[in-house]
Amino acid sequence: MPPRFRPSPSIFNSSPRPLLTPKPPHPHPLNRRLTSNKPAKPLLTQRLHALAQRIQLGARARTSRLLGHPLRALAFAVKFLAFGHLVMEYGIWPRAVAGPSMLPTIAVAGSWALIDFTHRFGRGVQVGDLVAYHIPINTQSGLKRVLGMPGDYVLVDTPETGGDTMIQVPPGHCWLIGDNLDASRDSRLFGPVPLGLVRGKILAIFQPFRSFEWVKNPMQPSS
Amino acid sequence: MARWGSAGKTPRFLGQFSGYLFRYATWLPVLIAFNSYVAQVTWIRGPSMYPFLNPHYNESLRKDLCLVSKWSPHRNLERGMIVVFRSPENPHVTVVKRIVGLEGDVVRTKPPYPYEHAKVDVGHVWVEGDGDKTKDSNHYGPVSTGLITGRITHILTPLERAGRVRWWEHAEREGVQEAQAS
Repeated sequence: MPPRFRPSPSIFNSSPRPLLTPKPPHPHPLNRRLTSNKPAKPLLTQRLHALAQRIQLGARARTSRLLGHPLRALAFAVKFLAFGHLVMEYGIWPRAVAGPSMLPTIAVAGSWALIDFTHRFGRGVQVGDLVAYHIPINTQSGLKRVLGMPGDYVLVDTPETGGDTMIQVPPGHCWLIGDNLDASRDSRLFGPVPLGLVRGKILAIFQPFRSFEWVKNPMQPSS
Repeated sequence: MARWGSAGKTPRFLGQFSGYLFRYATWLPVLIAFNSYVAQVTWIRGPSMYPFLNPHYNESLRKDLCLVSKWSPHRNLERGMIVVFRSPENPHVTVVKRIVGLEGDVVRTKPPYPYEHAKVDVGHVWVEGDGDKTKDSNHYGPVSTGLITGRITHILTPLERAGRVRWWEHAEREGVQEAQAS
């Protein structure tokens, strides 16, 4: 007697439950809490695990979106460079400084200055601060100490060796002097510097892996 | 399905909205870099370049819309160019003037200036407005080229005057003794 063909139940009806299930009876109002239809709330560990999985999946999708197409990679590079430019021009960033004009404060070579560019155009700059500025008579940048802000009276020449003439710093300008008067080209040469050329205030002077020093304004009372 | 980080409570709209907001905000640094190094569109305020710019400044509120080229603004400056620079008197104010003298030129000055002739220092330019109501180098002396941020290349509106700024037609000004080319 040939065996009768019987379809495997796993193919046609894989669910262990019958297709037609009677609706569970409406719970008694007093027992509603105990016999809720809702699935049980997952444990905290389970929820954290699901969250981590979703973050991982999202990150993978995002990287593939970024680098999947050459234009997307280009846009990412442009945005990254522009953000770097924003930080380096408008935020806080170190720059290498050199020269003998600030000698007791800054060494001739090998020093770096941490510059706060939010003080550009002389915002919040006071007498005694160190500032980075565009030299008015060429296209280079320099670093000097502020001797006078608008309205202050300053000595035009070098003390002791020059004349006694004093002038008032015009509005919108500042008077910049190097700490090493003998080897400094500063406002004694090119006059008051427009505040529009001030790029930022020096926060700290450091030599990489050797020294780091916060710049203190000597005109402020020490406390 | 709730987005991650929102624990299923935040409406989906808010999550999507902040996502779009962040995606647009990432283009802001690019816009800033473009505006400071390539080009910028700006309105001209004030009568200092009358009648070349804002010829109806006292008749209407209409202002000229101009294209400012920010590409290497300190290089290849010529007499007659209209430049945009930070005022030497107040760095938070940007002004538009025409270059009259380059470095080494001797310029015959106009009334508020204390001397009759002025020699333009190295790395400076002598700027003047076209109109009468202007505060220019005759008030504050030569301007350092480091303050120049751009030059006006095109007028965009009003349409009847739109087009390239032909600055070379205004390069001559009486009383400017040009420096000897060395």
